Amino acid sequence: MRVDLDAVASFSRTGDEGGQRAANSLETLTGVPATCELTRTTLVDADGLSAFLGDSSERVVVEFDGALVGRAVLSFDETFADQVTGELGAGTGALSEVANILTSGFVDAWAADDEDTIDIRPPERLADEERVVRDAAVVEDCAFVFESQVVLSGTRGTCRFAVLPDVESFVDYVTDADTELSLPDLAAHIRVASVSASGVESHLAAMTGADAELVESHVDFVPVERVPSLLDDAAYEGAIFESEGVVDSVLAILFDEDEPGAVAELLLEDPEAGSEMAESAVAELGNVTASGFLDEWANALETTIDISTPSHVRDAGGAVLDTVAAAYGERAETVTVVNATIELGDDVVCRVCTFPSPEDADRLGDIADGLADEASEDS
Amino acid sequence: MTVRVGVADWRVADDDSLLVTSGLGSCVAVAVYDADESVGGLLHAMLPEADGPVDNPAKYVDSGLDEMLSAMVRLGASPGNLTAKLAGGSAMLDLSIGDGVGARNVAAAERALADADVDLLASETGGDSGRSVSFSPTSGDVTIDRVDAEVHVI
Repeated sequence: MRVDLDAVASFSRTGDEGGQRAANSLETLTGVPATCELTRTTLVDADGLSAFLGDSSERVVVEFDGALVGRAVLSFDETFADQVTGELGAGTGALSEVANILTSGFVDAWAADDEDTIDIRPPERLADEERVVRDAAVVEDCAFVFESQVVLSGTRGTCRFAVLPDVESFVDYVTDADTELSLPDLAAHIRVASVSASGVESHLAAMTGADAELVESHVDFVPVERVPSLLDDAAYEGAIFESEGVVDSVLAILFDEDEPGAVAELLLEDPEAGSEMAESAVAELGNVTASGFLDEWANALETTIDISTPSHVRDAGGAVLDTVAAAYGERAETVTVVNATIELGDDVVCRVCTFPSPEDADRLGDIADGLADEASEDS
Repeated sequence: MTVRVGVADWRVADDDSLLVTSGLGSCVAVAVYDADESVGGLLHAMLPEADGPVDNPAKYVDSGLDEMLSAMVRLGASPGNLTAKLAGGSAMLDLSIGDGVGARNVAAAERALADADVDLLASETGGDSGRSVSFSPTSGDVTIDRVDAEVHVI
């Protein structure tokens, strides 16, 4: 199974254009510089869609109709909501106004190449998330989400802007776009994320003895310059690997610790063992995580995938991903990222971002096929 | 006002705004200012040189700098009175791909500034750690922040 990833990349580019327009509209409305920092086309396991959308207390839904039918879910963090309300001085109506202009800016990009228009309805506070999840474009247990994140200067308040098209409308849109894109084939990619993430979960639990819980997994198709925004600027401790074989890739295994040293403590009996031992423990845990991920790929393709010795990092998450993105940046406009988030005990969260080489990204479809065959043999 | 500059992005200011950008790994931040007019700009570029016309010039050092300098002149900066400071371009990871893009970004920035007759007053580049950068167009100070390290001003 090969999917036309250029077609998926074009959705990410359209989404990015929409995110930029939305940020410009917000800047004009508020007078505060606004930046679109992240845009991605994301495949989310349907069961994990609610977790992916988050649980912000300030959420607004805007339905739209026309060339594309569906809804946008806008999640404002508290800082963003306070800043917008302060700038516009319009009380609680301010967020609705912002939701309106952000949605207009975003959907205009999707209608730009179409004689049809996209009309938006008045914003409403999100009251029925179950309905939103139920109506999302789900194909074979995979939901399609187009997300942008707009950040306001001054406070770094952030609005997550998730567009969830209705499934029939999205199928028509893709068909009209005259691409060879098969949505069921693309949807199968989610299997690569969910099976790999489960592999990591069980490897980490066995290695550390700590409770390991898979929080969510998804696949992103991201314009290369937006990759650094997949992680925040908090300090992450971790290990970076390269794999070689049928799929060349870079794996960033990054641990977000409540306290410095929390990762090393999972493996070391003596918390005062020293920085060299601690780095070695992080590398070992990274190795286990990388193996958990790639073993599933190798099994699916009935081959082996070799991994390099790790580079140890302790740095801002964005700076680490910036380095990976720039390394691929001269070879691709858009990159594929297979993501997993696993909680490890109470103090550590493990983020896995796997970047198949742009030249090998379409092998993910073959891996998905192999995993499907394994699943059918097991059942 | 603190004004955020994203990746593959630039911003200019002619007031007491602080231009900030974060997550610099092998990317570079190029701060340019006209001290007399208090006009400054900060570019966060990801790659050295554009290969022909591109959708987003700010992704590349050369085309991004061209675009930002034009915006600064429109804001009142004098092309003959510009100076610059440079940060970033680290080699944080030992990757077989990318062909040392951090060092190539730094070289591209030095070349592009020279081509534009902009004096490079100070730089803090290379190394193996990421950086966050704040730039004050009024003072010309570039403040560099790293994880687990002292703040450094150039």
